[in-house]
Amino acid sequence: MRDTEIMDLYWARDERAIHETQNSYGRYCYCIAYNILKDREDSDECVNDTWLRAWNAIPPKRPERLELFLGTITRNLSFDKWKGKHAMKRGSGEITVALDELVECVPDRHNTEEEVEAAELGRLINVFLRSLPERECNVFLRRYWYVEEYNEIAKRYGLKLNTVKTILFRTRARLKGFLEQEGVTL
Amino acid sequence: MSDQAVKIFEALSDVDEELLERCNRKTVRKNDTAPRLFQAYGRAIAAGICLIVAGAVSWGGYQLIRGSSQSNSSGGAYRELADMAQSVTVEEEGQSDLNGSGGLGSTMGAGAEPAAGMAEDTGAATMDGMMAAQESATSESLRDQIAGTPAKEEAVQEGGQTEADKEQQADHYGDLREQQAAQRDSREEIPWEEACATEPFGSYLPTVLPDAYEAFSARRSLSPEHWDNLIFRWTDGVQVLSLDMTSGEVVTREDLERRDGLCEYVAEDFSKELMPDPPAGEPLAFTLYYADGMRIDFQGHVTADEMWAVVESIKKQNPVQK
Repeated sequence: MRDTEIMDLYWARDERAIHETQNSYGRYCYCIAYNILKDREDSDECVNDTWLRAWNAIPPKRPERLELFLGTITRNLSFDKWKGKHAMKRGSGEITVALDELVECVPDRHNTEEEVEAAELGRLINVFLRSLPERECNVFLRRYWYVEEYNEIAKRYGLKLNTVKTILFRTRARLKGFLEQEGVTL
Repeated sequence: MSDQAVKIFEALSDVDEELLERCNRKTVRKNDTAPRLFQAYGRAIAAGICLIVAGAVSWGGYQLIRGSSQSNSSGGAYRELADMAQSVTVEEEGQSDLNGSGGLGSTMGAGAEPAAGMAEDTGAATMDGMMAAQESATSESLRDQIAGTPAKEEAVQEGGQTEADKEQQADHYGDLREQQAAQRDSREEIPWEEACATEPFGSYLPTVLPDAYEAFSARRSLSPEHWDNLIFRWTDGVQVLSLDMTSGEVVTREDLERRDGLCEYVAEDFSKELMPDPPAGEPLAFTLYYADGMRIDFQGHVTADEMWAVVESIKKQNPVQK
């Protein structure tokens, strides 16, 4: 079923909308949740919560890209769940490694004084990503948006594992430089 | 993990959908394309290649027969082409002496090479016509000039390469060979103790080595104006671990980014995570550039952990250089 037809079902408050969404994007959302949580039950729970959020949000919303709309909800829900579970103890899995790597992007505090709002940070990251070559941008997003493992990314783009590592390493260094240049403090 | 990293991770939720969509797109992998094409169109491609080869062979045979018959009567198409090219060159050189308008020089443009290129595309008949035009347009003095350079004409070889060109090329390769030989000859095995005491290399020697590895050899190559290189080798009796050190070339992070070199890192950026994964049977190899201009090529059939220990021990030796 096409996205527009699924959207029509949501707008008509037809519960088949959820069934069709599950058919079309269930696997996609599950992968996002599982990459973050590494737990089947938790991932299933997040995916089900995603459908509920979507049901509540549409209408009034009419997302242009349903896949990305649902993916973003799943990612946020999964990350919230992960934070809840790991508030007390440091966990394992790819998300931990990914976050450890992102620490490298954090600019030194002494270089800036103002704290930038989260929305501003999001905007700057968008500016930064748009400044990257397509390959670098794609690899960065597969790693830090989808939380995919290096070898998955290498396979997806037909790159060597070491190339992926190098691209990510250099992109993180660039992001750090960019955020420092923009005066971001976190 | 830190709160700052969490903030960046969360900020990524607001990334433009367009960028996300782009990274979702299926990419055509170069490696997969050829096999897929061959699977789908293997027979058609094979048939096409056969036709091309057959055509090329038959055309080549035809040209050979035609060429040999013409060479009997008029010295061959290529000879004509070479003559013409030579004439054009001479004509251009002595253009002030020429009064004939519409001569080959004005038609052909410049030099012998365009003439040669053009003649490849033209048939023998056209060539004869052009040669006739050339004949009528050139003066007696020019003919004398051409007649006066038989040796040069004879020197034109099949590939359009003159003896002079060949000699020049041979000289060039000779120079290269001499340079390589000089470098090879200048690489001398020196006593291990002397190598260890040689600065700045000595301070980059690792204090930690993989199990069972012992000093094997040290070779130095020094050209005061060009390079200073020292290769340290250790062995466990079977495999060799080598650190090929060259000093004098400061390479920055920006330099490496510009040339997009893989397995090359600024030493202070290098981490275990970046250690290459060599294919089975291949040695682990990478290059680090240190801040003082030292370049070290690491190579050996050792594990990533073992190599990392070597790198770390060098770092400890050189805390300033990291």
